[in-house]
Amino acid sequence: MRDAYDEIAGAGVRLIVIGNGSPEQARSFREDETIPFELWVDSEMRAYRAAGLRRGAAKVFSLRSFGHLRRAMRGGFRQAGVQGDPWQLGAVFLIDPDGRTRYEHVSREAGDHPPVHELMRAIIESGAKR
Amino acid sequence: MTKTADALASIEIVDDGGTPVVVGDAWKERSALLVFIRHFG
Repeated sequence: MRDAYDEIAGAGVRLIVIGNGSPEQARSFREDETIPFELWVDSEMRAYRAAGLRRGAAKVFSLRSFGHLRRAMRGGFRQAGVQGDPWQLGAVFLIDPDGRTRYEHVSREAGDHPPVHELMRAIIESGAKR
Repeated sequence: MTKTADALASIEIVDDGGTPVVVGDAWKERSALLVFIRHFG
């Protein structure tokens, strides 16, 4: 069973996780874990604000946040029954090379994540097949 | 470009190596999925 990352990569879509905090925190996470996504750091929340995300949408990210996301992706996003907020998502945007936003979801509360089938369908439709 | 993509395109942040990256470059050649992480507690 392919995990979600394989499907995203297979569709030729670039996966970039953006967090608040410091590059040092991100680097130490990357050293400790093998992560299949690119990791960008928005310490001053400029990208968060440009994306229209409220201040509460992001706090300092922690290793736990990425661990949750990675486990969610490994499980093919099949953690719908798990207590808490395994995804730790603030928002998701799928943007194509024409600059068109093909999918977006802003989480309003804990556990508020995009329906996976919708997200994956948008990814596959917008991605370039290899 | 749509409003959000337009606003994001010129924002410059850094990657985990500390190298500056322009957010709009993410989707220059192929579609990009941007996942903004949040953290509770």
